This record gives sequence, C-alpha cells and structure tokens, in this order.
Amino acid sequence: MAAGTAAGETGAGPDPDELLALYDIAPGDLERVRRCGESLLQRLDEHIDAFYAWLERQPFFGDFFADPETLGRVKDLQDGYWRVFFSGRVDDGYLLSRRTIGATHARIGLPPQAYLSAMNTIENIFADAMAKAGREPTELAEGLRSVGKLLRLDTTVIIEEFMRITGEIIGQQSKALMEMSTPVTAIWQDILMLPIVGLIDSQRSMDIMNAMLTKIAETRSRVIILDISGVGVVDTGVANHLIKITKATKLMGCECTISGVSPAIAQTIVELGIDVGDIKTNATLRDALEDAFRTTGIDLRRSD
Amino acid sequence: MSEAAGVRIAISDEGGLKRAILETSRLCDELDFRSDLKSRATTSVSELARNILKYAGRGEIRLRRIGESQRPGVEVTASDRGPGIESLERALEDHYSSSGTLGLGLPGVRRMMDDFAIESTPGAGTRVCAVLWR
Amino acid sequence: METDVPRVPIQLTHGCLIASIQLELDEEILAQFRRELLARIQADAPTGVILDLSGVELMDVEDFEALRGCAAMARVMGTRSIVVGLQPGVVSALVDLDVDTEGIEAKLDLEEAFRALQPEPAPPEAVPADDRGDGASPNSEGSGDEP
Repeated sequence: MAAGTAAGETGAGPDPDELLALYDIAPGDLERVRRCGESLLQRLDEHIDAFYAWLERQPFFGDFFADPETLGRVKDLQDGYWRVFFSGRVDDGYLLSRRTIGATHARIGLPPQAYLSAMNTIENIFADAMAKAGREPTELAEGLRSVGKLLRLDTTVIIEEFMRITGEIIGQQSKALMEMSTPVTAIWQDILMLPIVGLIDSQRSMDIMNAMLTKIAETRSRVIILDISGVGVVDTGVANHLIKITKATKLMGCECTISGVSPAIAQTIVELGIDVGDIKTNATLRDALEDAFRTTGIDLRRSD
Repeated sequence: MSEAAGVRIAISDEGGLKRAILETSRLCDELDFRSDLKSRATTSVSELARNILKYAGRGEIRLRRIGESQRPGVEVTASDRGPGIESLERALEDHYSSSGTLGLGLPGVRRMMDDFAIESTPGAGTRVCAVLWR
Repeated sequence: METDVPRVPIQLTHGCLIASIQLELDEEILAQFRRELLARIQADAPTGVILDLSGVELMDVEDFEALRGCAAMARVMGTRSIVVGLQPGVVSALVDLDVDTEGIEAKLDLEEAFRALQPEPAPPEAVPADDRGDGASPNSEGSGDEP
C-alpha cells in the first residue's frame, strides 16, 4: 500500500504516479479519456444541465444549492472540473484541484452520500452520451472503463481530503470545548487551580501548559493545583507531560501540586516505575488546598 | 462482534491511541473488571500504543476476551512492523532517568498485566501479547 | 583587564546581588559574568544572588546550563541563587528541550526573591485581638486584585 496516499499527509498530498498505479491507469487509459473528452466536451453544457436537473430533485439540494448565485458559481466550477478531467493529465496540480474540492465539501458539510451519488449520476450521463455517439462497441467499452477508473481515482482523492479536513474541524471543535471546560481558575489569592478531564494527548498537554503559564504570569500566583481526578489514563506519556508541567511552573516560581490521584492511578504509576520524585501530590483536592494555604501563609479558622 | 475474534484498532495517530483506550475500557466494563484492574489494562494499552506511535509510526492493537465466564480475561496484542528492539533484555529493565524521559514502559506493562510475552526482530517489527485476568 | 566585552550589570540591593541578564550569553560574556559574580560574592558577602531573566526572550539549553553552573558555583561559595522573571514562552521552550531543573530555584519576581533570601522571620504572633474569626486572613502581600 503506497505510503504516499495516507490521508493524514499534510502539504504534499498523495503522489500522482502512485495513485495512477493503484488504480491501474496506464498512459493508454489517459489517452482514451482524452478521446472520450473530445466528443463529451463539445456538449458539456447539456450534460451539466442534465446533471442539475437530477440534482434539483434531490433532498439535499435545498440545503446547499438553493441560492441562484451559489448555483451559478458551482456550475462554472463543474465546467472547469470536467475540462481538467478530460485533459487526461494527472499531476500534482490535478490532485491539488481535487483536494480543494474535498476540503470545500468538508467545510460546507456536504454529506458523502450527496457527493458520491452525484458522481454516479454524471458518470451515467456521460456513459449514455458516449453510447449515443455511435462508437464501435469495443472502443466504447474500453473508453468507459478508462473514464470509470479515473473517476474513481478522483473520488478517492476528494473523499480522503474531505475526511481529513472533517477530522481537523472536529478536532478544533473539541479543542475549543476542552478549553471552555478546563479553564485555569484563580480560586484564591495567589492560588490557581486547573481540573483536567479525559484523555490527555500531546496537543491538549501543550494547551494545558500554555494556559497555565499564561495565567501564572498574569495573576502572579504562587501555587497551582492540577487536579487529575478526572483523567482517564496516566501512562508514561501522560506522566512525562505532567512532569514537564511541574518543571515549567517551577521555573516560573510557582509551586505545582498534583491532586486527585486515585488509588488505581497511584498503583499504575508505581507499577510503571514512574519516579514521581519531588513532585507534590495529594489524594484529594482538599489536602492540596490545605497545603496551598499553608504555603501562601493563609490561616483558616472556623467561625464559632 | 464475535467474542472470539475481538476488536482490531489501527494505530497511526493519537486518535487511534484514544480509540484503543476507549475500547479497552469498554471491554473491561463488559467483563465487570474492578476499577484498579481496568486502570491497569487501559494504562498498559496506552503504553503499548504510544510505543507503536513513537518507534514504528504505525501498527495495531487487538483486544480479545478470553477465558471462561467464571474467569474471563482481556488479551491485548500490540504489533508493528517498525525497527524492532535491539536488546529485549535492556528494554525490560527499569530505566531511571533524571531528565524525565521514561523509556519504553515495557517493564511497567509486564508488572501490571498477569501474562506477558514479547517478540521482536530488529528491522522487522515487534509484537507484545499481554493478558489480564479478572 | 579592561575589555570591550559588554558586561552583565550586577548591583547590590538590600544586601543581595542582582544580575540583570539581557544580553545574548556567548562564551566570552558568560565567562566575564561568572568571574565578576564570584568576585562580588567574595567582596560583598551578600545574603543571596538574584538572576533577573525578565529581559531574556530567547534561551536555549546551553544558556540554561550555563546559568545553572553559575548558581552551583555561588552555592559552593556559600551563597544561594534565585532566578526571577523567566517569560512563559522561554519556559515553554526550555521544558520542551527537556532541561534539567535540578539545583535551580525560581521565584515570580524580585519581591518574592528578596523575601525568600531574607533570614527566617520570627514565628507569627498569636491571632490579633480584633480578628472577627470569620475565616481567612488574606495574605497581606501580593497585588490583592483577585476577584
């Protein structure tokens, strides 16, 4: 499986030659695509109109194409798309144009079914047109096969980019959610608290670090309590992040205490052989708070 | 999902790592694992998945329920076609490092799980199989 | 020996030596600084040394190690060092680079550093007579602008 076609690649994108090989598209196929294009492009307007006649009848039409200006623009883009398609040249620029479409679909939230059924429809329109053009049966069959292969290559590129951008968007949304739900709070003078919830990955860990350091600088706090009672898993990766965080707060002159260490997590920490060293930890938030008050010189009395 | 076949999670990014943890958690819940045992299982899966990402870039984690209904267990198989481990002996020793990088985590996984087996061929890949009984 | 090497300013305030590090610490400047710092420690017998890094925007592992070295040498001469003013961005980068923070003491600002370097104060007096006993007696230090 060609590594270059991994959907997660940013920047460079899939490699044209690898893709062509994967879809068994030889220079002969591309030549056949060009020849089919000669007749199809002459009546491209008609074919596109036929496609839109189908599109108007679809349930998702209203959601995405109702506005006449949008519709006009999309029709123009369609026209361009097919001209490029039938030029039979699959290079980086070609793939980039396809990826751009995928990205657009992702941003507007066009469902895959809409796009895939549309491709199916236009393929049938072209097939009918080619059959009517009265080509010799073998030539027709081979032409259709080649066009079909290239269509499927296009579909792949577009859908993979669609998925990649959709994933990014979801990631950004959950990041935003996370930031909203894990604020660094000044719970007392000089004392900050940050509850951490869920599974920590490297992105979140960076976000947590930045939020803390910024807040420490802003509030000139002397103690920060990191409550991890809501954290799902503490493995060596997470422990590394936590160690880094405590190092960083130390360098800013702020003492960091980790609270909310459950018995289960305490066990795994020891079993993993993680050296907690001189990081302050507490089982409960309450203990951590008491420590924090002591450190900042606050004396609490119950009023009698 | 057929119980014998289990679940296969592709590990090629942190999303995969999270999915692996969540699936492990789900399986442990299905089998009524105590919270500390569940924690061991999820932490082990997390460790193994991280190793895959860090050293091989991609690989897979397979989770399977094994054993009898009276004594069920969770079997975790982590495999990759990465560079492999040169010295298994050293990898299975504990590393104490002042700089905060905590090594492969394998000795920890071995401690946390009941059964543990590892094979690795430099240049070809690594496979870890571990079981935790309820 | 007079040289044209730019100097890190070191001044004696409240019995502490404060070094304001704002320059790029290349080998020469660092060597000069180290020499001067140790000489001043010997001459002035300060209660402590404060390394003010608030003017530093960029720092790498080498720079950090160099400062750690200075602190260690000061300690050998019986003097405690405290780092103040590290910017969040600099801290973030240093931590990513996995620096060893052993032997480094840091405080938020000069005020905190002074307080830390002063000899231990006498134990606090008993509760003031007019304490209303309604809970916390907030720390009288600090900016006092918390919500």
